[in-house]
Amino acid sequence: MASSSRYRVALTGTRTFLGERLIAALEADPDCEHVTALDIRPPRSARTKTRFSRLDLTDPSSDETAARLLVDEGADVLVHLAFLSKPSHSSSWAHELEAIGSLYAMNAAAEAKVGKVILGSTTAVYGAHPMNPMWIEEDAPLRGIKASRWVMDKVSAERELARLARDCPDIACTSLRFAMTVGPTIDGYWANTFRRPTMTLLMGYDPLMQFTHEDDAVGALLAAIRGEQRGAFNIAGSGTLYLTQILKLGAKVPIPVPHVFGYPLHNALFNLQIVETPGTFLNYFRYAWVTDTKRMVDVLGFEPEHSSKEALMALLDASAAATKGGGPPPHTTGGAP
Amino acid sequence: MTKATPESERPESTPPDGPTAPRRRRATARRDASQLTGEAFESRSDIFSLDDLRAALDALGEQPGARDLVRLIRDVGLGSLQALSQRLLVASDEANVDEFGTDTALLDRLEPIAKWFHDHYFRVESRGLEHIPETGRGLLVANHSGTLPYDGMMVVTAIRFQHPSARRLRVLVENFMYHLPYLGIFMARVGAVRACQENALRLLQRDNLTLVFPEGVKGVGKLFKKRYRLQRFGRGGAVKLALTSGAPIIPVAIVGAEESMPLMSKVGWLAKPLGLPYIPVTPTLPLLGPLGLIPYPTKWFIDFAEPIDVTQYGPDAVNDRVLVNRLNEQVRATIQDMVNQRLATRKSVFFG
Repeated sequence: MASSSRYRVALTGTRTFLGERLIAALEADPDCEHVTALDIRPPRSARTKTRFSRLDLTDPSSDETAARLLVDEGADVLVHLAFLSKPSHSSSWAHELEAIGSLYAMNAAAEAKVGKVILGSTTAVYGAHPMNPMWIEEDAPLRGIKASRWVMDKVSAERELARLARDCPDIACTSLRFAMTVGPTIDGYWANTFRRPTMTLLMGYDPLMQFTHEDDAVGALLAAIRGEQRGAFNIAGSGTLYLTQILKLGAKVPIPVPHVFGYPLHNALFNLQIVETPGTFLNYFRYAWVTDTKRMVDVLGFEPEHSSKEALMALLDASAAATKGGGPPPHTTGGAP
Repeated sequence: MTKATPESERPESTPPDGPTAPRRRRATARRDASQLTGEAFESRSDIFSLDDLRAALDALGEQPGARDLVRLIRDVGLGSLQALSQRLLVASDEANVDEFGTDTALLDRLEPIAKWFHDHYFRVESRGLEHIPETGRGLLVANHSGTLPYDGMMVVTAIRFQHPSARRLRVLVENFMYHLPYLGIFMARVGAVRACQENALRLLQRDNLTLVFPEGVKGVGKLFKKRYRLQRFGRGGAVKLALTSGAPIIPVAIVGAEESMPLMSKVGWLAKPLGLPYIPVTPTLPLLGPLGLIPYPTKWFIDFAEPIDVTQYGPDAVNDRVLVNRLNEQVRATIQDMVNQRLATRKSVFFG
């Protein structure tokens, strides 16, 4: 258990950006005794503490396999990160991995009676709705965006975690909901959106936006592994930015679209599989979905090092340098931090 | 392409196994599109490779010519309004934007205009300003009228320039108003916050002076023949806010706004597709086009009543439905009385 000085961690989704970075951080952490890496491919950042076991969460028997591995390796903490960082048109496969895969992961945690489960979630699960309060707190309903499977699968994962928390009160269940995670190296939908030279803008709308720096995301995961908390936490840098400010900071070329045309157009492009997100996903660029991080500071005891603006600037600077200098590509995945 | 496991679909992306395997050489990849395929979890298309298209689009976007073309479309076509609004509304510095999106630098620029309207156009006469607390929270509850919310602007200006504390008021606005294109951006920049319990509570808990119009659309949208007859005060949300936060309720009566934009009729059928609750018809509004949005220079009076302290009931009293309704009605009656008194002594709509 985390209360003892040394802990053993199991991770799913170790080949995701956060998974790779978390393994690197755990390898460097003297309190971490052992890391069980569960994915379909071994992590690149693994050193001496990490042991890789192949686990495909789309496999219906993966819960038993995972439970056995968790018991064998004596894991105290299960960190569930096997999520798609970008929307996929293979929505049924994605659903199997994210929603059903989470069910299997929670099954395994319940079976193996781990001390703690940590879910790497996103603040997009609240959805961007006109009736959202300015600062969304953790107990707000998880409405997501109905048409977007990418978001709704994460809502399903949250539900599985809530079910586990209800059924197994001994397991400390924690969900870390990251705001749009950006930074110099991360490869994900939000980061790539803000790397593009152009941006679609719904005319007459200018929502406030909030970001998490990639390093802070890893930091929050580490804090959750070590801490004694339970429940959901919004993880985001302080402050907000207007979308038009972002365009100005990044010298983006805005493509203004009236919202009445924007939605059907985006939907058509989605059905042609040219864009990855359905029309109503544009709500994320129309209404604010900024979250309150009071619980992160007070209960989790985690203070991000980067504000929203610093996180975004880190991304913009890195992508500008990469375009100009022909240097390393903006998002090199995995590897040492 | 059939659904394949990620491994078999992109064999080239699988690095040599083992944690110590050397990183693949990537220096040749100028754009990152080919790298998008390198992860275990990625977007995949069943029809064609999305990543190739993305790479092509991104490369196109980087061409100077393409950039100019997009600019041209933006500036000449649909986007001229957008360009204008960007010039006006892009916050100058994020340090000036507070947690509710208010841009204080923009406010500094606009306040002189509001002050001119306050001093010379509506010639607002305020009474009872001493009831506004110098510091700490307070919930101002006012009657709403005048088709367009100039009344909110005048109360804000009166306190900003007439009250010794020069406090900036936060105004809770109707949902539809807050999300109207452009107007919503503008309102958020100048201190408006969408009216909902969470937002209002947050404002009060941070010791803001908050102005609320509990009549809502029913107030601004009432016809001229019903002027100065206060509508139902919602469901008592304002009183509940005061009870929960312990903020004193300060009733505010505004006289003069009704005649500044007399609402003759409302068009409903055209409003719905535009996302409005109604389209107002005033003697000048559709007739003179945008000029019809200018209010008439009526003489305004704003009366602030003594604060109603609700802390004696405690925060749990929000569940006492009868008490909430009684307080709600008490506030409404106070404002109605103040309005009636002003109307009784007023001799002229334009000269007071």
